[in-house]
Amino acid sequence: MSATPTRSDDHTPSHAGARSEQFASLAVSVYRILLLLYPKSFRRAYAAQMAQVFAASSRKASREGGALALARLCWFTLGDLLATALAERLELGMPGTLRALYRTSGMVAMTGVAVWILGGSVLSVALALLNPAGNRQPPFAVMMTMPIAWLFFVIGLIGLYALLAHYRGALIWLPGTVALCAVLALIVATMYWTYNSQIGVQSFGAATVVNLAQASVVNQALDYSAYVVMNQAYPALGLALFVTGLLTLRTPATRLAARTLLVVGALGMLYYFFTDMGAPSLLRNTGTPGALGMAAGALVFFGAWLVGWLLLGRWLWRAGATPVANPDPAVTPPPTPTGANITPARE
Amino acid sequence: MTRKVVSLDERAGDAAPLTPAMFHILLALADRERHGYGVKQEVERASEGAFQLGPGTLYRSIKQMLALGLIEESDERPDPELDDERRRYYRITSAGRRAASAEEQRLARLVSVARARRLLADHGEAGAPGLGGVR
Repeated sequence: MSATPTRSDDHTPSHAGARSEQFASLAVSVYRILLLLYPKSFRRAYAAQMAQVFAASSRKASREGGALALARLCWFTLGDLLATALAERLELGMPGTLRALYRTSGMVAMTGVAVWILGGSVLSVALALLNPAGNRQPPFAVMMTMPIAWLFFVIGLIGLYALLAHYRGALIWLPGTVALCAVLALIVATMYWTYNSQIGVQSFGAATVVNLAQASVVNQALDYSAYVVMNQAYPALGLALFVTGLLTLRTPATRLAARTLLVVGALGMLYYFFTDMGAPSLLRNTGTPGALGMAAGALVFFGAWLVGWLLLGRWLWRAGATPVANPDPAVTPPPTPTGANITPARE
Repeated sequence: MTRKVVSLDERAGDAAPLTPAMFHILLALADRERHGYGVKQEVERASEGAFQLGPGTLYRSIKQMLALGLIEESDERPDPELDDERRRYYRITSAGRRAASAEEQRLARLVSVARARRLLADHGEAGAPGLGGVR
């Protein structure tokens, strides 16, 4: 007696085949998403073809070996995808990540400047209003604006360093590293000092001015220099970071704004130099030796600041004027395949 | 300082050993031009399924081989009516043939050394070990 195929027997293979086909379609959809792991340039060039190859392979696997073969293919392809995506990204040196760092750190720096100005203003008012009355501290949230702004500064500075180092062609750029470490140390020291003394930066400046009348010439010079640095370094730093942040946005408008701020910053420093340093009241209070010390300290530090500002301005000006060198190496088309000269002759 | 102008063809001839995937792809393209999936199928057929080529390895190798001038894209379609026009076809270049030949000689020398040291059984010309399983 011959076995008559039952209805379910008749339909089971096609049902399983349909399910395998569904799994295959699902696998291809997931694979298309996972292709995002590759760098953009690689995706542009090959993602469609890779998806085609995987779709054809998965259809073949599900048709010939069912769900198990499809699962094995998916497992193998996943490992292949992860390994080659990582290799591609390492090969490209992650330029996209570096650009994202510029932009992010630029935005962070500008946010830090905004927080610093806002928080500093509120903190100053709060100190002025609360301290004389009952020596009360401003609210914790207001006090926290300063460390938050400094944190933004630190991140922004790292972005600034990365930007300048990139234009130098290397991330490990010794002068930049030294300068960055120095400024970061200044920030950390100031944070420690500010909270240790439990007064604001503004109060420190006032105290220094009062002490000038009683100190030696050397101490006066040092104190005044510190006062200048404390009061002018942060605005200058903030402005520099803001300019950098604008530049990282890399639009004509932001470049123009950054250049304007550079000029305004330089003019502001010159104005401060000629007004505050030569303030008649300060000179009267400190006497001739004190005035000499102040003048010496101020000259040295203002000079250093001015030179530093101009150098920074030069760097940033160039950075704003020059397009990013090889903005997206990943997009660069591969060399001409055959017979192309890969090493140009140089004299 | 003057530096010698070196073409990709010359460079490919002096290149370091090819990766197994590159060598397989060159072998697959030796007789005719193929699209990516065709290359994959031919590689698996030639290695009797021992060498599997994932899409990532396949197209990463193709990218590198295009840059080295070992293969090139072909504008021709074997049958434009039947073929998917999104597919890209690749063909081996003269530099690719030289690189494959150099690789074949390098592997042959390795095999002879292995045989001399009795690491491999001597199967004769017909039974020379294949490349399957090498990744």
